[in-house]
This record gives sequence, C-alpha cells and structure tokens, in this order.
Amino acid sequence: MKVTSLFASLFLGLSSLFSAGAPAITTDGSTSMERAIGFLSETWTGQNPVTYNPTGSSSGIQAVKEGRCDIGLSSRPLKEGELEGGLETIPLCQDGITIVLNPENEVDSLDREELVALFSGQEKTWDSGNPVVIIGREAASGTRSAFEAALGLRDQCDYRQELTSNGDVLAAVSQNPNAIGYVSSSSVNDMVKVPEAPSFASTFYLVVKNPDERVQAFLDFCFSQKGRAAIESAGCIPLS
Amino acid sequence: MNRKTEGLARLVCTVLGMASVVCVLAITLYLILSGLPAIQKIGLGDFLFGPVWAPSARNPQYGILPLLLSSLAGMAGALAIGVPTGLLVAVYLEKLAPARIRRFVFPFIELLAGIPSVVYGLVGMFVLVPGIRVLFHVPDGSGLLAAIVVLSVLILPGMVSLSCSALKAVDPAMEQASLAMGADPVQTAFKISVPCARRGIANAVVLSAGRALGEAMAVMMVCGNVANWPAPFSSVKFLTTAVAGEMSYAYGLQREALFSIALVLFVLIFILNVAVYLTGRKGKA
Repeated sequence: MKVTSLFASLFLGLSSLFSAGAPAITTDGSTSMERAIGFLSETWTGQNPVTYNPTGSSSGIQAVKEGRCDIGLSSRPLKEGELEGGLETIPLCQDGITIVLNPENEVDSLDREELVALFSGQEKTWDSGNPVVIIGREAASGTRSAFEAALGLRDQCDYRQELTSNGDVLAAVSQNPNAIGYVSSSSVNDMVKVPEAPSFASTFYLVVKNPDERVQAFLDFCFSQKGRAAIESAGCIPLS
Repeated sequence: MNRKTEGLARLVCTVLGMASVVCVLAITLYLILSGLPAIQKIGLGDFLFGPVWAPSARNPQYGILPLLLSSLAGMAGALAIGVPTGLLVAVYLEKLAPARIRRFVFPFIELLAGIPSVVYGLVGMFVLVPGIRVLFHVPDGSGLLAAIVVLSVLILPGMVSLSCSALKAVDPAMEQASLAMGADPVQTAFKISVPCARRGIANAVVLSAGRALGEAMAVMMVCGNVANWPAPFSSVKFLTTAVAGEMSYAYGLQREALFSIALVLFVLIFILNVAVYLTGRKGKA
C-alpha cells in the first residue's frame, strides 16, 4: 500500500513537472547577459515564464537558428554567415567590458597601448618583475570577440587560461596575484580590482527567427518603460 | 509451472544481456558513422598528427596531436601516481591491516568513489591550482600537473576497491601454504597474493586508465584549456575537454571533428580493453 502511494505521488510529481502551465519563452546564449535577462524575466508579468540557458553567444545564435529556443542572446554582432536563415537581430542594451586585476596587483591604471602589449604577449612581466598571466574566455564567447576586436587582437591574445564564464574568469583572477582578465562590466564583483583603463562598450543583442505572438509580447516588454528600468537595474544602458 | 517461470526468467535475462550488447554495437556504429566524415575531409594524417587545434579561428585548423598527447600524458601521470598507491593501499587493507582498521577505512574509500568529479575539480581550482603556483614558483598553477593530481585522486578509490576484490578472491590455501613454509605475512602478500591476483589487478589498472582518459569535468576546471603541447606547467586541452567545452557551440566541420575526437577516444579505450583481454589469456595458459 505504502509503495503504491509512493509511486502514485512520484508519478503525480513528475507529470506536474512536464505539464507546467503556459509554454515557456526560452532564451539561450551569452553568459554575460545573465543579469540583464534575469532582471527582465523577474519583472516580466506575462503568462508564459521566461527561461534562460547560459551557453555562450555562438551557441545561442546556433540554437535559435535551429529552432531550439525562442530568443538567442548574443553579446557581439552577428557575423556574415550567421545571419542566414531569416534571423533578425535586435540591439537590446549597452554593456561594457571591464579589465580586472588581482587585488594584490599594484598597477592602478593601464592605457590602450599597454593593454595591447599585455594581451598580445609582447609585455611578459609586470613592473614588479612578476610574469603576466592572461585569463580569457573560450573561443566562442561574445565578450572575447568584442574585446579582441576592440584592441585589434583577433585570435592573437596569449591566453594562459580560457574559461567558459565571467564567474570563472573572476575566480581565476582572484586566485592569482599576477593575473589580468576581462569580464562583462555588469558581472564585476569585489573579488577583483578594477584598474583605470579604457572601457570597451559592447552591445547585447536579442536574436529571433519569425517570432510568434508569445515571443513578440516579451520583446515589446523589453523595450517598455518597465523593461528599460529592469535593464538599468541590471547595470546596463537600454537602447530604443 | 515451475519450469515455465524458469524459462521466463531465462528469457528476461537473455534479453537484458543482449540489450547491453546491442547498446555497445549501436554506440560503436553511431560513433564510426558520425566520426568518419570529418576525418575524411581533414585527412587522417592531418587530423591525428596536425600540430594546431584552432577550430574557431579565421583559418580553422583541426590537428588533434596536442590534445591527444595531453590526454595520454594526463592518463600516464595519473596511473604513475594512482596505481602504486592504490595497489599498496589494497594490499595493506586486504592482507595486513587489522579488521578494525579495515572496517574503519573502507567506508571512506567507498565515499571517495561517490564524490562527483565536479567537486574534485572545484577543490582543484581553489586549492590545488594556487598551491602549485606557490609551491613551484610558476606564473600560473593550472595545467597538466594539476590535471594529473586531480585524476590520480579520482582513480584511486576504484583502483583500491577493485584490487581489494581481486586480492580477496585469492585461494586462501595458497597463502596458508606460504605462511606454513615460514614466509612472513608481508612476503606472502607480495610474493603470493599479488601475483595470484594479477588478472584482477590488471583489470583495475585498465579501468582506471579508462576513467582517467575519459574524465572531462574535473580536468576542464584545472587544466587551463589552451591547446598547447603537454608540459607539467603549461596550460593544456584534453580530448575530452575539447568535446565537452566546444560541443555546445560548434557547428559544421568543427562539430563533425568533435565526433571524430570521440571516435579516437573510443578506439583508445577499445585498445586498452583488448590489451587486458590478451594479457589475461596469456596468464591463464
């Protein structure tokens, strides 16, 4: 008897998991957009819940192209080949890319030339004589692609570690006194030190393919008064 | 009636047994079918022995030699640390330790086997990697050495418990005879028990090798993920971490090449298993 009721409740629990009300609006892509999408989906009051799958910009674009999600999230502009298949990009908001150092690093400011020398591997030591350790993102990251494009260093950065999220970069930089890295500005926390350095603007895009009513409602919300406020509280600058 | 149930049980067991064979064959077929196209396009030589892995660069290159060598070096290093340690622990626990200690230690080893590999990776990232940097005065601690240490801890519990089972299965009469001849327990353990259990121990080594070769998550968190040539303190990318890290965004030829990497991994494991099968047969004859 007990066993049957156990199975019954298990079954009910499982079936309620799979029949969860209105179909979700699924988003997939850039890990840098986590905060912006998080704040938007929290203030979103529509019937369909919004889900978020942090996989990286290239992956999100690929997912929306293959119809595996409703909205792809990209923290870089789409490349030529990627726009095929009826994809439409909508600039959502502006964010920055921030240079981060270990708190023990004595460097307080870096200009553009110094950054190019450091990231390209021409300058291999800090003023203190310690070796420079460059922490970056994986090849498909939108943040990496925007950062390298801004410095004119596409595919030329001399990485010691390539990690798959802003959080990992922050953790790695905070663990090594000689480390330098870059992250999405809205994800910076106090594990790391932010030197005075040129900031690199990056634009966050929503990528859609023939959005239906359900998805369009959320897109409209993103550019409404409430949506813009949510984007601002996530630390980004909304675009119209 | 009785005969009927027996027949039914036999049928169920046969079907289930065949199911695992079918699974292995299906996976093999799928891997070969999805792994071969990229190898054909890139060329077997360029794929296996190409020195540069840069699939998302503007001029993509698909040479897996650095990944292959890193994976093999990681496995060899993990075995060099894990196998002797595991075997000695097993001999001690099974043949020499008082029952009290064995009862106390064994649950901990089983627990170690149950810890998810991502936890090993996390500890590696926050303790081992900074530790290596300070200890060896290198710029950054992530890399092959960190991966080897994590892998050797990862394979240790399996190595210990499989070796223990092999040692337990040794015919007690052999050991008693040795003791009766005047050999002490340590001599008996190493000269009688271990040689008698060599088949099982070889099996444990192969399974550990497979585990070390196949692990992705724990390695990904400590190895640095840049496709360099393997060296203790340089950042490396393994075959597994390339598949795990790039599959989510890869498409086109890169995606096909990742399947080819999986095929290479599969072939390596297959070779390991055939090797132990052959050595086992020779031992018996």
